[in-house]
Amino acid sequence: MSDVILQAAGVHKSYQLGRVSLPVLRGVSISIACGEFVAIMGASGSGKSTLLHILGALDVPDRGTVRFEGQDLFAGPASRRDVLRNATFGFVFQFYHLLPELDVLENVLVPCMVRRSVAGWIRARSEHRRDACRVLEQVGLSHRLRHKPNELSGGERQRVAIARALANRPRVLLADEPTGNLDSATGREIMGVLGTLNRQGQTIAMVTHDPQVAACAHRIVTLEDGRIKSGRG
Amino acid sequence: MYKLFLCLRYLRKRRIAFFAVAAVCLCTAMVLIVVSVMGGFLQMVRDRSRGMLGDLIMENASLQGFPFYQEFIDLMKAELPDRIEEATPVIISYGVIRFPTDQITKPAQIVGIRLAETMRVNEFGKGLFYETYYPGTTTLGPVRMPCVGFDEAGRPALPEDLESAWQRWRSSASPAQVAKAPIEESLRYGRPGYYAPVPAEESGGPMAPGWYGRELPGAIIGTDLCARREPDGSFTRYYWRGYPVTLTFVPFTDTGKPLETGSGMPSKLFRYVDDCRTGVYDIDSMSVYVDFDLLQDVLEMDEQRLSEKAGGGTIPPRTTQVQIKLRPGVDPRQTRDLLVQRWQEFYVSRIEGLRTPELIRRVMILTWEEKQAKFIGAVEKEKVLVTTLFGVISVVAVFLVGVIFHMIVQQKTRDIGIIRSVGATSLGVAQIFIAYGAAVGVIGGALGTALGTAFVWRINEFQDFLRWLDPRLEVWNAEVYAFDRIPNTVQAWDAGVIYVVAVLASIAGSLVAARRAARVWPVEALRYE
Ligand SMILES: Nc1ncnc2c1ncn2[C@@H]1O[C@H](COP(=O)(O)OP(=O)(O)OP(=O)(O)O)[C@@H](O)[C@H]1O
Ligand SMILES: [Mg+2]
Repeated sequence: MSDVILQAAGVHKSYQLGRVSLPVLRGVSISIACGEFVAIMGASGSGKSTLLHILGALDVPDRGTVRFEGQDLFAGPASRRDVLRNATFGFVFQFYHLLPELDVLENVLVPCMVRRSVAGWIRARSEHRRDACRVLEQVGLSHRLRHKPNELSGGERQRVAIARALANRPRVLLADEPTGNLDSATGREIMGVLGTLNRQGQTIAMVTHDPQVAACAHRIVTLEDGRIKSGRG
Repeated sequence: MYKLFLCLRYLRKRRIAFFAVAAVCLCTAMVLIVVSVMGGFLQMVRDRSRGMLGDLIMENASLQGFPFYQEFIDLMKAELPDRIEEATPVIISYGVIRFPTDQITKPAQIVGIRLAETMRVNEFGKGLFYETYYPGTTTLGPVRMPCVGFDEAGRPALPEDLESAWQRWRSSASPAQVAKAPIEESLRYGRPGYYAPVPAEESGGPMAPGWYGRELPGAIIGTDLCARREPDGSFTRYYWRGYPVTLTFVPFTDTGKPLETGSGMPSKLFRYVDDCRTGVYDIDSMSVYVDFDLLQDVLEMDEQRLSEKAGGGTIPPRTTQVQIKLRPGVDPRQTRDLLVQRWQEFYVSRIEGLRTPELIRRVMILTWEEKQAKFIGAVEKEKVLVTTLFGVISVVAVFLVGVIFHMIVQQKTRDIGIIRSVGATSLGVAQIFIAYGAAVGVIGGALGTALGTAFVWRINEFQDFLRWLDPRLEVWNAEVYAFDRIPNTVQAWDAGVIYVVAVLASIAGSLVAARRAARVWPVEALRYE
């Protein structure tokens, strides 16, 4: 578990609010090992989401580097990061963020469709479908394939989001408060799912401000004043 | 793949897209209707112009006309047999027509034609009514009046020669044509047209069908002059075939002075033997066609001896126009140039000693297009103008598509963030909306083309319906537009071009929104619920 898969060094990020520049991250350094389950904690507004987005190549730091398997994430054209987001990282958001016009299975298949051309999709469709069904079974939703997101409960939606994040078998799963909108029982279910995934070897970085949720992780880091303050395990 | 998938899904699920489709549809239909009607109008003007005139026209635009026409026709027919199929002189003069029954007088353009030659030179024969259903029975020579009598079995019947002409037409016509023949149901003889019964004073014996009355020269009358147009497009004729009409003429001398005849203006009785429809209202509501030689004689345009006082000698016979039909495939402009050259060589030897050489020098030879250039040009300009106008109006549709797409992008910002977060490129996101715009164009354009085509095909029925609701709703006035029916054909080429433009315009309308979609910053889009 010692080989580092994702490493941030001296990451700075500030937001421009009119004339004022609001620094959010001020030299964050963090390493995530392969197969690790890291929880990122911190007060609201401390920049947890911002860090997670930068780790997942969804946002760009002002300064500092992020390396994935030793390669700089932000070197090269933007299209390279698009490919990385598609195949290497899987995002789970606090607000699920499912596409309302699509049913459960289609939502899970979107990352696969993004990867494929029309011809490639037609060729690989059944394979992708099988994968998606398997992942949905993993998160316990195989009986809801044809439901629309608005016909699902919050916990179920979050499971769909997890399944979508896993659709392209990402190297790293990035979860931003996956239980933030759920009651504690449902939250525990979701954590159970994540724990199982982690035991199967999935690297996970998760943002939360619930210590109970964070306790499921191997290691907890805390963001404070734009820096990592503490680490454990 | 996701682009196609999402594009199709949004098309199905976003109601608002239907407004864009509807806008594109209506604009496409509108432009197609305008282009088709105006294009059809132009085509009709051209066809009718040519049909009325033949390929080339020789004239000096005067009422006196010009001499030596027959010599020139004969010479050219002999010299250029591979170019000239037929040529015929036509006298165009003005006068008054009077219908004795109702004592109605109307101004008339009295046209002198050689019937057989004219029917070969242009489409005149196709517009004749009785000649169509009773082929070979229309003549401009002296005729009597055909009357309906009773056969041996006591049934109403037409004179034998008309009956056999009708049978001849019926056996050669297609069943559809026979079904369309305007048989007067109220008239018991069951044949097209309007015939008088055998006059009472003649019916001493059995009232056999036949030709009655004294012989009078025939006149073919413009249909709108002697019949009423019904809303369904058919005509109700006011007068019996063979009914007498009076024509009053206005003759001029070769120098353009009113001709002094002893007893005022010459007047003459004719029989209405047929009516003719060119489809151009101005012509059909004014023209009366009589025999060329007869008219030439009445107008004293035939050979005239000059008195000693006027210097003696003769004035050669004159015509006002020569219409020429070329053989198929012969270039009219080139032949026109050739004829102009021949005409100049031809007249130099004859112009000597002529009292009015200017009549000859002013003779022009024109193609039918040049003769009608003013009218055709005006219609062409009108077509371009109206099409441009409606094209500009259609820009509104492009804006509407733009606005609707902008709204969709705004509503879908979060979704755009989501698909960006799973790896879609910003170009890919833009392509979804461009494809969406193209789909709106393809569907809206197709619906619009179908709608426009259907409307154009039914446009005359629609106008009849409006007129039935309220006569003031009539939009196409035959007297203004010269043609009695609204053009109702759609050119595949027009429809294709308009369709492609509709698709391109829809894509253009979606471009701004697509650009905006491409610039959505996923982190921003995903921050909130
Ligand atoms: N686009 C932005 N413009 C200006 N300020 C921003 C923007 N995005 C984030 N911020 C600010 O940056 C800070 C960090 O935001 P971030 O979402 O990373 O916090 P967080 O730790 O995830 O908070 P929470 O626990 O509430 O989710 C906040 O103070 C926020 O107001
Ligand atoms: Mg957050």
